[in-house]
Amino acid sequence: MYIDIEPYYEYTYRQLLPYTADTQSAKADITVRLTKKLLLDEAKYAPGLPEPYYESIAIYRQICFSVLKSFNGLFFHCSALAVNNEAYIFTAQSGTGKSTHARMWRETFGDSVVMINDDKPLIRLIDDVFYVYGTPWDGKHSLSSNIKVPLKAICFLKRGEQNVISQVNGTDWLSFVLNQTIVPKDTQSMNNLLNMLEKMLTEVKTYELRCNISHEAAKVAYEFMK
Amino acid sequence: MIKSKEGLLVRKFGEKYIIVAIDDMADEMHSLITLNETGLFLWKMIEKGTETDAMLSSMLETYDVDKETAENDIKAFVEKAAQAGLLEDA
Repeated sequence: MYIDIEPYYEYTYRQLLPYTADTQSAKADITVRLTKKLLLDEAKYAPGLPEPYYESIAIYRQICFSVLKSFNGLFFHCSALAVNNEAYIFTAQSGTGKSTHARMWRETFGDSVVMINDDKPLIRLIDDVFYVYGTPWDGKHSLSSNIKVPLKAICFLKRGEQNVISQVNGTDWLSFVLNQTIVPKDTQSMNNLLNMLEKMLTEVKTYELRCNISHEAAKVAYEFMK
Repeated sequence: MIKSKEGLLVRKFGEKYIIVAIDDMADEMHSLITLNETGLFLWKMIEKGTETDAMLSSMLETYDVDKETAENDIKAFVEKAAQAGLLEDA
């Protein structure tokens, strides 16, 4: 997918750089131009942050809305990684340790783990398959790859003393999942979102993992979900 | 009259029915409401605008339930809907 963006701030420019396409001739699927109002809206959601950050997140929000409206895609706040070209995504309430758990996978399984996106990937439904996409909005440690990988498993993460994983009924988690995505206001996009989530949470295997911070946690999770 | 606010979308999700907010309502309501079959039945009436008596007689016609249980169910449902901010002010 090609997206036409004209960032104003150096911060945004640098963030987008690894994903910049060489070709000038590529026709953009989405064009994003920010208005002052969109920046002010971001400042309202999260006051007290630097303006370049607002630009970056405002751009991403517009992309998420366009993807939802016209490209069968949705934003999902999670840490996404791939093993053998199969994507595993870890989602949890902020501060639970998604990124830390993903790091346990990298430390345990080494080069066979590819980080798709450590924080804000997109997911698209193409020919009946869900794909997880790397994006430049990739978390504190800037971990992502410009790739798309078929989604294998969704894992809801909770902290625990021991490492226990079980399969769960995905549609029961809708309320949680809606808190990890950008919810649109118009009926068409809302129905697109709910149609995709219904399919995703029904057809993709979903798990609940209670875990501590250890390599054993990664092994328990992978062995059960692979 | 008991009537739902504008901007509430009701639809099937998996085995259940849900209500989500759209348009201007999306700024007011962020929670997700889940309905069972009876809940959906009552909600359909509330969407069009109804009264407690009409809901009671419809429920007694449709479901094998005694009057007292139906009355209590309706009362509880309407109270919950009001608390969740789903209803127009009477």
